[in-house]
Amino acid sequence: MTQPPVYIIDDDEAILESLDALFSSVGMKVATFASAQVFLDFLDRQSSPCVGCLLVDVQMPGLSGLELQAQLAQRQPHLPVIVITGHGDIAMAVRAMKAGAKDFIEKPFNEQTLLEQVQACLAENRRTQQELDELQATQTRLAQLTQRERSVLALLMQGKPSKMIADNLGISPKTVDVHRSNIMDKVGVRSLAELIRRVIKLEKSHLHQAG
Amino acid sequence: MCDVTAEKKHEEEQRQQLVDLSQAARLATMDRMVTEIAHEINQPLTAIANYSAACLRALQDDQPIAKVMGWLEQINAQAKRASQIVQQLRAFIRKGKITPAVVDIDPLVKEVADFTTIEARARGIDLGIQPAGVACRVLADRVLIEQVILNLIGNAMEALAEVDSRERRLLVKVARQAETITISVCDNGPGIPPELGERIFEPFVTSRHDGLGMGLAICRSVIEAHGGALTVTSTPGEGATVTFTLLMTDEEEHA
Repeated sequence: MTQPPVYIIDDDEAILESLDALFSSVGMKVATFASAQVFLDFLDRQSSPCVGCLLVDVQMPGLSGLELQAQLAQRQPHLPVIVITGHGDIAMAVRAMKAGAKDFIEKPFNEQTLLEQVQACLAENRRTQQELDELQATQTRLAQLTQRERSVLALLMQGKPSKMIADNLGISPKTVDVHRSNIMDKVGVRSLAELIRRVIKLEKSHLHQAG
Repeated sequence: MCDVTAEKKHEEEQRQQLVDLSQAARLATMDRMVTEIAHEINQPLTAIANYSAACLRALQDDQPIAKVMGWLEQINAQAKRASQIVQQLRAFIRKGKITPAVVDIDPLVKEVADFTTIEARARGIDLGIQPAGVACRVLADRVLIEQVILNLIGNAMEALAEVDSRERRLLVKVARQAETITISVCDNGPGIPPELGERIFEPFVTSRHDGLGMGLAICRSVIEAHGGALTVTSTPGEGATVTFTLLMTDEEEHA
């Protein structure tokens, strides 16, 4: 698996390049951008959502860090953001966190803290990405269910036992059990609990609402 | 004889008043300068910290020396950048003693605005000047007037920090009337809370989150000492404009 990059946005070239140096000295992948707009243009050219972590200076000419956050909340809600603030600019840090930033760091950086913060964000992004992949898979697999299997699943989700489902659909409890086992095979789960957990997760996710 | 002595004494008093005001204004300006300079110096220092941390890590695990050399060169360049900022600060503090002289306002406003360009850029503010375009000569203490304008621009920048939803604009205008020059500093910030009213001219009253709130009180004293007036107009939610006037002079500017 290739390592997801740290996207860095800062209008100060020296800060940008020195961060590039810092991350590459520990073998991390970096992509640098001189402004929020350049980064948004880059996002526009991507075919799939970005994975990784975004490190952005909150005070920049043009589109500010906060404005960028607002746009990202729409376009890339899962990309974790760490904002860079001036020393002692707590008010700005609070605003950024309220806008959904995962963390903030003050200039000049303690490099150990910064590296740890970024690693934590990358790890979190990886977990989020895995969950999203799982949801996507569940969705694809559920789409392969037959009409009858869907009816059985809907009743299962209401917590009804096989006998009641059988009565409801006018089929034998044994047939219901066969359907149930087929559904679990198709979704790729081993237990009913796991099946229910996945379906509930999907229902709660934006994927479900969008579909 | 007696008249001349009294006049001399009065002149001396006026002079002393200007010296005192200058020191007060300088303090008020320093208050803000410190914040700005801290930010400006922090940039190269941050870069130096990053590069040197990168060098240490690279050397620890025997990464290519050429890469480390490149970073060391950058550290060197950034240290020079920091030192240049300190030199600029020194030059600013040392500037001029109290001497009323013929000053042309247009170039002065441009100079002050140029000085604040970096900060404006960093704060995402569109800073514009609208000169009178004609000679606007006044008899004034150059440094004091500069500091008044700097303070007003600084106040406007502070106010604009609260603006997220629209473009942050700051405009410094110079206009010439029959006998006076008008200088206005306009921003499209949140405006001045109506409950503050005229109290914003009192020392220690401020709508800012930091600073002592000495700025406007001193600015008004400086302008009044020059025979002008300083007023504030504001539409809450839309912005504020601080305007001050100075009397024109017929004297020619000395080189």
